[in-house]
Amino acid sequence: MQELIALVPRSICQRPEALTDMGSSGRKEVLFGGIERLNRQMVQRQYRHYLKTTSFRTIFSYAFRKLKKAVFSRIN
Amino acid sequence: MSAGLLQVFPPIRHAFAYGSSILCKAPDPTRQLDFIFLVDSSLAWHQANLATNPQHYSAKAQALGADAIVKSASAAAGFHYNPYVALQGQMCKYGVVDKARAIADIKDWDTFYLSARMHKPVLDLISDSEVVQCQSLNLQRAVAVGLLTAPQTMSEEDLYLHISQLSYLGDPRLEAAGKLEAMVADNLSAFQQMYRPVFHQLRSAVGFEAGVVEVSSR
Repeated sequence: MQELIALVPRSICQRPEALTDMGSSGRKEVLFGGIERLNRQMVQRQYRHYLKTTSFRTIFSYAFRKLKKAVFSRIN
Repeated sequence: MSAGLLQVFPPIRHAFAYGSSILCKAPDPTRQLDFIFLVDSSLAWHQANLATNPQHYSAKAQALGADAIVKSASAAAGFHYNPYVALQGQMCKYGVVDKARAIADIKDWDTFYLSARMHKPVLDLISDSEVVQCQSLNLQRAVAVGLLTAPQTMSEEDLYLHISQLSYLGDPRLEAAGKLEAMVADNLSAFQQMYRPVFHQLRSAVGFEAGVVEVSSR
């Protein structure tokens, strides 16, 4: 267990050593929370970059394709 | 698919294809192939690529120039993607990132953007030894976090599914529930090739026998 805890990146849990004293549900909550936060932050930042550097036409055609796919998957 | 596809680009250190276009048994033919390129300097790379392949960039990106593209990408996960690029008749999307930034993410999950994509099988087109070496630590971390957030004992396939789901936590673009299961089942042997050596490296902490993975009690 200690060897696994030592492999937990600090980007998702600032004090991995604290995981030792937690139960499995507490560990899961902390680690999932850390990954969720990081994922959400990076997806938002990448989208911001995408909006800054992409033409309106490309953004519109991407959104239209996604919408079409979502509508068709609901119908089928 | 071969590295020949990448001859139109300035020098690339490490390149791979990833995502459902290489992992699905019946990929959607209208879907783009996804690539990630690791380069020495994304600024120099985009300057050269804007000169040789300006049509790969949106009009807005061309007007902004390499400096602004890289500055904006750096504030995010470091990636600039050029979508809807035709390469040898195939629609592709490629993301470019500095190798140093990529290494930091693969080793320490700085952004979890690239490292998470490398938890699933990818198709290497150009290999860099340093990246390959760091990937071993990335997979060890994936197994550790996977096991620490899962039931004490689970099947090997369930662990791969669990690890694959990590990259979608908090991501509004969550894949359809059944899609990941199918992706893991279709690529089980590729997952095994990736992760079985890791189980061996972590043998003092991870028990693996008859397709069952568990946190070792030793």
